[in-house]
Amino acid sequence: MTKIGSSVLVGSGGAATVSFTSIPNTYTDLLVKFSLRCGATGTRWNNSVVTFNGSPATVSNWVIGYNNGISASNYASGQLVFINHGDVDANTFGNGEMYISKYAGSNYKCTSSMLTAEANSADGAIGMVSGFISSTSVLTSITFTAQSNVYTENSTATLYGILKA
Amino acid sequence: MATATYVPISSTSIGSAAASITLSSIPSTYTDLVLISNVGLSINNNSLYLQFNGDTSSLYSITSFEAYNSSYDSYRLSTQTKMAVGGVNIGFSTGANQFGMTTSNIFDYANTSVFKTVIGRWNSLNDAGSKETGALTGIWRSTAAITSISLFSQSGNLSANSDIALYGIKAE
Repeated sequence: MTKIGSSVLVGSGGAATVSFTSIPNTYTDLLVKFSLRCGATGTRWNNSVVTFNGSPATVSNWVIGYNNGISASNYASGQLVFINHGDVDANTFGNGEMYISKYAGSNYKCTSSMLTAEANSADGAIGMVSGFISSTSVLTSITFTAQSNVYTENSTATLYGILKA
Repeated sequence: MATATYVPISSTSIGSAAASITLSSIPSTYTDLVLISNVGLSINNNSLYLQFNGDTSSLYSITSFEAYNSSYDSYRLSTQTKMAVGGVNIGFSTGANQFGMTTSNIFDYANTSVFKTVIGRWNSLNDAGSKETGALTGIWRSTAAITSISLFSQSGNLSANSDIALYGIKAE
């Protein structure tokens, strides 16, 4: 597993997106590790929308355990959605990883993600998301966009390439 | 020293539909294994299974939870002859270029003093049918070192261009 480029570290003032661009096509799969927090006010939870090559042409299915409950749903024509923190709890971030298989092939692409959002004082969530990217193009960029407000300082993401034998 | 992770061990792809894919002669030099599969199945309402070392005895069990469209459930299967690693409909669709994906972490695979545990998850979305995501933990109640892994469908074949890749993770 090889780190691709530099990790993204959001500085003071925040950032509306966290992106990886010019991804080389020399690996088999990709793995993104992220720790994101958004500045949405008055909320503990927020979502991120992930797009590939600038297009939201994806569908996703997710299941989330929230405290003692559980729920599941599809996004039939939209985006992959992740949970990350709003401004309620200080110093807490939503963490997770997204595995993207055969991103440089002529096949449609699959993603598989695990997500956590443990609050400091109350509430916790764990989620699993599968994504389907109906494109035969090589994925050259991945962009995380905060659903509301911006990613706050110290949000990070790192992209790795995995090459099979 | 940095820990060696996702070190490529072996991979294989099938050029035409086949009943199974097998990776053999797995070296014992790593601590854990990661198995990544991209597969299509020829028959709907099917699951993807694995067996270690060709063992068909009833030594496998899994506990799984999954989302199926807007529903969710969990289940347990014990004393099985194979271990499910991908849920219903994985990789089945009416469209081209569509495969399901599984990731399976196989722990302490070469330790002859322990049973072998698997933690995995799968993606069986397509653009025509159901949408499902799931996670599982499984055990193979054998102390044998894992030297081969076979993937196969509950019934029918794996589609052409299905492939699997195996990686090693080594504790320093």
